[in-house]
Amino acid sequence: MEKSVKIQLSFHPVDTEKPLVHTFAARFGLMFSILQADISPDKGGRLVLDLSGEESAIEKALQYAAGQGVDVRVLSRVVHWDDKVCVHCGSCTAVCRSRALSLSPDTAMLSFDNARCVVCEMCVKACPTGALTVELSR
Amino acid sequence: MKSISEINEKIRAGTAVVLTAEEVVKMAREQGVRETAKRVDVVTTGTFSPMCSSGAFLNFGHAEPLIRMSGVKLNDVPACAGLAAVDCFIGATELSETRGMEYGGAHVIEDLIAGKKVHLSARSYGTDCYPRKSLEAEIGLSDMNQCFLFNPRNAYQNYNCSVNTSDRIIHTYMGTLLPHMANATYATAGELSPLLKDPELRTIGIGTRVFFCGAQGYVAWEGTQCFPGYTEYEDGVRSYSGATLALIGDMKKMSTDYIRAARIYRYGVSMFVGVGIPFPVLDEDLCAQLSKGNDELFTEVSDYSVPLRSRPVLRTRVSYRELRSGTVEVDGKKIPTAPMTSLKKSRDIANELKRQVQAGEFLLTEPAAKLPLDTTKHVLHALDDPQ
Ligand code: SF4
Ligand code: SF4
Repeated sequence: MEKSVKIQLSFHPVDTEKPLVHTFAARFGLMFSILQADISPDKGGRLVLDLSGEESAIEKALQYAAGQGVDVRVLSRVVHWDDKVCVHCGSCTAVCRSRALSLSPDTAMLSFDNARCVVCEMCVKACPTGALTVELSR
Repeated sequence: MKSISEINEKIRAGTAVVLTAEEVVKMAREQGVRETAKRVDVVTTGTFSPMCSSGAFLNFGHAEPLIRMSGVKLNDVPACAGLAAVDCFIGATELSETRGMEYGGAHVIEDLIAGKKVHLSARSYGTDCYPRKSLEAEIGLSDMNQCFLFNPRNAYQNYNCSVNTSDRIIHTYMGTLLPHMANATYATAGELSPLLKDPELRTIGIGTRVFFCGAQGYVAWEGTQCFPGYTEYEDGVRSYSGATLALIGDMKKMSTDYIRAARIYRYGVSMFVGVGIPFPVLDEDLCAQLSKGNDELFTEVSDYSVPLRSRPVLRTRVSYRELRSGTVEVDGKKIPTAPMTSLKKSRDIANELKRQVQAGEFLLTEPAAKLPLDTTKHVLHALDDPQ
């Protein structure tokens, strides 16, 4: 079955050279897009990916990554934006560093691009009206 | 030169030319201030921002047997009952005794305006004329007598842009400020902001009718901490700040489209208050102020990691155009900006007010008295104040 998951990979300093993402595509036939990359060779870091492909291939790929000593976390929570509750103040955009949340320059209304969201949940706390919540993804 | 009564005649006749502040900025740039002053009669403004100094007076009506309430809670939020028997004042920032920062006075006010019932719990010591000692009831706005919002400080003329130079995240009333100046927040609707458009308060005074959370409200007094003033830059340009308004209006006529509770993480509860003021275009001088755009209106950047009365100012002149562009430059660093004021709602208010004036539903007022421009600022000397 085709599936798409958001995952976070945390690397230790020495691991960053491993061409993990390349392997995901080449060996497991997965499609990926990088949502957030925050890596440096001496410090290690964090990579948030959107992976899609055969469910079994995704599972194998994640097992492979874990076997390489990379910390794998499936982001099973999703952020939900309720546009009926939102007052378009923009407070959430102050903390959304992946720019999933932004105000339109023309209409001054908020828009939420779920694909860019790395589920850091900063916006959920920053929203004054409760328009942003986290839910378990299906 | 036009007078307010001439403009009102035109509003009544349906012939007044009404523009929003954004529209007048554009028109003045295209046609000049002189021509604009001739053609336009009224300019409408709007703002929708968290304004902590807000609250409501409520009168519950009398119960049988009578009670002189000495302690009042609404949905577990304490209200001030130190008034007559069944009067209270509920402050927007008061927190629930059971839910803490999740729910406060602002939520009670929003729930009431939304038409919901709230739980009233009252206590009393009992007197000969008011024997009852406790009372519980479910009440809505329509069950009560007079209910009016009385906000001691609203519509701040101008406000600073906030950053955090420390190395830890801080949670402030200006929102979440990331360490090392990784973000900046600001809280004014710029060219739509009411008091930036008549900076010397020529036309606003006590009794001025304003759009107040969907109702027609009034300026009751100068706002608390109203210290009108300006900074003059080297090129002679003035940046006004400091004026505030105390506003009053009928809660029963308000709409949650224009007033909403706000929860500010680790700070507390506040209230988004929607205010709009229509300005008469009396002459070219006033028109020139009304036509000032975001590139001609300025504020400063302050460091909120220093919790002192006067916070360090990191940049003394930054335009609202720059803040709106998405980044602000401080010390050669481009910092992403985010507003706290809803530009969308501020626009909605200016547009709705424009519609009401055009339809003859909203007339302008001659103030009953001027607001003072020479207030003195006092600070509080605590007993442990080292100075
Ligand atoms: S902080 Fe909340 S209310 Fe404000 S724009 Fe974001 S989602 Fe909307
Ligand atoms: S959780 Fe919120 S702040 Fe974090 S990336 Fe997603 S939308 Fe942005």
